[in-house]
Parts: sequence; C-alpha cells; structure tokens
Amino acid sequence: MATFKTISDGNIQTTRNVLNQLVDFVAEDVSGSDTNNTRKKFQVFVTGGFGSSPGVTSSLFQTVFDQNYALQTSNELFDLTMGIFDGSETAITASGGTTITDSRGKKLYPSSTLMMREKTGIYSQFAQLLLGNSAAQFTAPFSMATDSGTGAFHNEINEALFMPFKRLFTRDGIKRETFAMRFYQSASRSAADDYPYTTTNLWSGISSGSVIFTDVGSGASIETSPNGGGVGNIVNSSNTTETVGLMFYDYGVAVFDMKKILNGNQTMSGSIHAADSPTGTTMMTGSFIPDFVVSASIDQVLDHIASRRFGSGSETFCTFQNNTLINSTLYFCRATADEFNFSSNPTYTDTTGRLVVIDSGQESLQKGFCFITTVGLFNANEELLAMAKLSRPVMKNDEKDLTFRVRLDF
Amino acid sequence: MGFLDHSTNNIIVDAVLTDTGRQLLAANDGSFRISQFALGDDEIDYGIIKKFGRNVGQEKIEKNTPIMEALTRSNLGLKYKIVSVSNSYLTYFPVLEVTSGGSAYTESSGVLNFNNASSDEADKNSSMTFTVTPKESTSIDDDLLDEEFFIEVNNIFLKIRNDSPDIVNIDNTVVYRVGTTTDSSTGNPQVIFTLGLKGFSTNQFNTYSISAGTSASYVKTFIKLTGATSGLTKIVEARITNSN
Repeated sequence: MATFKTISDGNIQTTRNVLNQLVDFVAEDVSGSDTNNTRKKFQVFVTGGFGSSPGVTSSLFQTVFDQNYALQTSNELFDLTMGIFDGSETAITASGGTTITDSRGKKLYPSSTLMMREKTGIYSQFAQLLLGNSAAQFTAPFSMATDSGTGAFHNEINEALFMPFKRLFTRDGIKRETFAMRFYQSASRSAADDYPYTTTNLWSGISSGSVIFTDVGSGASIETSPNGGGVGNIVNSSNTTETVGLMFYDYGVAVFDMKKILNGNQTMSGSIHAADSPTGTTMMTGSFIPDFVVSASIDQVLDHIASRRFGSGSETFCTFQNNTLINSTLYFCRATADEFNFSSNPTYTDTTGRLVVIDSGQESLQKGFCFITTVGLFNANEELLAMAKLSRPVMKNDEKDLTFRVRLDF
Repeated sequence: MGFLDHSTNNIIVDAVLTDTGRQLLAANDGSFRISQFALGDDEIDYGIIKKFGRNVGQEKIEKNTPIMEALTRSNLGLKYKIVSVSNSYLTYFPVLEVTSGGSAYTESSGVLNFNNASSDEADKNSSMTFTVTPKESTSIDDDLLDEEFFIEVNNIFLKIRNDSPDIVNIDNTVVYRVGTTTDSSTGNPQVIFTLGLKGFSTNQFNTYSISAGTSASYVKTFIKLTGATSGLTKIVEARITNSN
C-alpha cells in the first residue's frame, strides 16, 4: 500500500532499561501529630476487660502517608510495625521465665504484658515471608558465621522494627547502597529528673543521639535470601562494623534490631495501656527493652518510635533510590528515498488536485516533497495501536532516506 | 518528544499507546501486534509553500510549525497520511468526489438529509457513489489506485446496509472497509454503498440533536471516506431529523 509500510521482524527489537528514582521521606510525616493526620492506625486488636478494666485497643501496624490521609491525594509511604522473636529472652521473661502453653500449644502471658502473641506473630510472619521459615530468626549481619556479639550487640534480632515501604515508591525494588535513615537513639526527659521520675520521656522530652543508618557496602558483597530475594546489611554510618539491621531490596522491607538502634537500657517512663488496670492505663518506669516493648501495646511502641525517634521537622529523615524496569520495543520505521514523498493533507493540493509545492511552470524540474510530524504504528487490520510525534517537522523528498526509531515502553 | 540526529538520519521518538492499542493489549489474545507503520503530517499547512515559495516556505514550516503532543484517540491521531508514489514528478493528485447521493443528498450544499419520521424509505437511505477523478490529467497514477476505502460513520444513527463494521472506535464511530469498483464509462475507481439510518430512540435523538431555530432540530454528523492506498479523504455532512 502507498500509505502503509510493513515492518519486518528484523526491524523490531526489544530492550530493557532500569530507571532509578530518588525517594525521600519527611520527618514530620512519620511523627504525624494529631493535626496533620499523616500516620494512620488500624485498631483491629481489642482485648476483653480484665476485672473493671475497659480493655485495650491497638493496631497491628501503622501506615505513614505523605499528607493528611483523609485527603484523596495522599499517598501511602510505608508501614511501621514491630515484633518479638518467640524464642527470645524477652519473650521468655515476659511469660514469667517459664513458657506456659495451653492444651493446644498457645502460649500464655501474664496480664501485665500486652499483645505478646501478636508481637511474636508479626515477627514470625516476616520470618516466613523473608526467611522462608516462620520459626527462623533474623540476624544482622544476614550471613552470620558465629555470634561473637556481647551484651546488646548479639547478632540475632530479638526485638525487630519492620518498615515495609510501599510499592508506589519501591517500584521494582530498592537500589543497593542508596538507603539512608536518620534515627535518634535516645529519648531523654525534658529536665533533670531522678528517680522516682515525675516527667515522661515516652511521649515528650528531648530526642538526641542522632545517627545515620545506611546500607553502604551492600553492593560490594551481594547477598541473597532464598525466600526474600536480594538482601543487604544496614550499618551505622559512623561505625560500619556495627550492623543494625537488614534491607530486603526486592520486597522493599527494612528490618531493624531495636536493641541496636535504640538505647535499649534507657529508662522509659510514662502512661501506657494496661489490660489489668481499672482505668485502662498505668504508669510504667523501666527499660525500653524488655519492659516497654513487652508491657505496651504495639500502637504505643510505634507511637513512641514514630513521634520521637525520626524527628519532627520538615527535613528528610529517610531516603533511597528505587529500580524501575522499563521494557521497550524499538520499531525501526524506514522510509527509503522513493517512499513517503507526497501527502494526502488537504492543503497539499488545490481544488483541481494540483500539488501546491510545485511552482507553476516548473513541473518538469521540481519534485514533490512533504513534511513528517507523526509516526503511527498499526496492526494488520489498519487499526492505530500507538503513535509518536516528532519534535519538529522533518522534510522528506526523494533525495532523503529516514529511519524513525520509535520506542514503545511497557 | 523526539530529537534529531542529523549525522545518521536516525530519529528517536517515544510512542504512546492509543485507546485501541490499550484495548487490544488488555484483551491478551495476541491481537496486539504491530506489523506496519504510516507517517502523517496533520499539523502542516502546505499553503505556506505557495505563499512564501519553496525555499522560504520550507524553512518557515520547519522552524515555525509547533507539533502537538501525541493523541491517544486512534481515529483522530493520524488523519493525513504521507503517500508513497514512485513517480517523483507527480504534479496532480486525483480528487475524491460525490458523483451520486440519491434523493437525500443535496449537491449544492453537499449535505445528506435524512428524516427518521418519514414513511418514505428514500428519506432514510441513500445509495452513494464516490468516484476518484483525475482533474487535470487523463489517468491516475498506479500508486494512487485504491482497492478499498475506509468509511467512518456515526454508529448510533447510521450504518452501511448489508455490511458490518470492521473497526469499532470508542467514540460511537465505526469504520467499514468497502472495496472499489471501476466506473464503466471512465475507468476510474469508485466506491458504492447504501447509507441508512439505524433504529434509535427519541431520547438518543434528543441527546445528540441541536436546535435549528424555527426549523426542526437535527443531529449533525459526518461520513468520512479515506482511500486505503491514496489517502484521499472526503467528508460529507449528514443531518438527521426526527419529525415530519
């Protein structure tokens, strides 16, 4: 046909490219004060009342948005949740030093603890997803030859903070060696305050001990989890031998060892939920680990971390680059010298059909030409499936051959 | 948008899928298969060449013609195709004309008038003949001889009798592919078909009709013919009334 030209198989090529987008999250989004509503709770956990206690409600995870989540334009950034390893000292201590189970194997915990089965359940869920075994334990570094750690710096992660980033931002995965997150390791009281503490550092006070956690070095030693895809170690930027967590790049999930990223021994005080209190709350004073993570609800642990540990200003607290895979098909549309030199544009001819681009009296000397602005890609049924526009008109005559390399991205 | 690599004559452009492309891709039945291409020049006004001459005119078109972004409507995206003709010294294109339109066709205004309320079938159907005529030469270049035409009509109000649409667009238009015959007296290609009203409701008529003052309101629509080979186009207006 004179208006269509077949594209041979040799003129169709497929390619794949990776696009990296820089993502950064603002601290005030995660701190999520009551007025800006950027951190959403899903309070699906409800206890029964113990005695005259009204019971406790809590989320299993919270979601951070980039603006008020009531607005339709808001985007989900990441989820935040925590878990405790079922076989950890923290879990055993919480159960009174001896693991007690009911007749069906369900673990029982004293009423002074809260949501212990949910906390261990969340840990197991992530272990099953990322490690392939719900009973497995995360370790940082991921590949641990021997646990040479001491004190708080054992390699096994017993109390984990999970940050699954949303697919909108991770796209086809997080790029190695691009992750960085600022974190405050300490949450002090607002004034000198010795025991018995009268002020709270759970919900107010001074955040200090700012450190940067990063996955620097993960590109030099690429590790893979058989069930969790690519994985790298997250380290303290000021001391890269100190591994504080793991980044699962394909899943877009960061796992932090709370014992390492926080001053776990720091005494925390403040009002927390309590299932066995007539008011539903109680004042606690004790270390962050194990006392606070065992006694408080998941919502309250997350509230404290989100509101006090990431900062609250308009500055970036977390950043990474994602990978977006772009599959392209290249169509080489070749117009040889003797093809596509005339136009069916109505302005190309006058009312008698004469070509306006040929000067009168020059018919035997001048040849027709046209300008190309559009490339249309059709199927065999002459249906227009895709189209491309040039940035400016390109002249075509019988002294020119042109090749339009049309890229269609998927 | 694309950019030009003058050293290789290789021009890189990013394409977008049209509505039809996305529809066929979603169908997942192998119908999305790009097998041919066409070039277009919808934005170009060749009258500039006539006004400014070939040299200045070419430069003005190249430098002063902004190009629109790609349109995703498949039936509007590429209206005027570039044509391949082996005769480099071609100076005339043939012209597509209505040579017969039945009693519903008014030649002076070039408008088809249908009346859905009429009991006379001639007011509801029109046997039309379009002929490709060389105006200033005796023959049509072989490369411009059409074997079939694409006829686009409104799918709510009109249809081609004894035929079924080949392409259904999302904007209530359909395309019929109709083969050409040869005019016995002139030997020129012609396309003959009977255009008729479809059954439609009063509500549909009221939705699409426009007021015509003291005259009866009517639906204004168009029949567009495009030569598959020559790219020649002809648009005929149709007015449909629904009262006696």
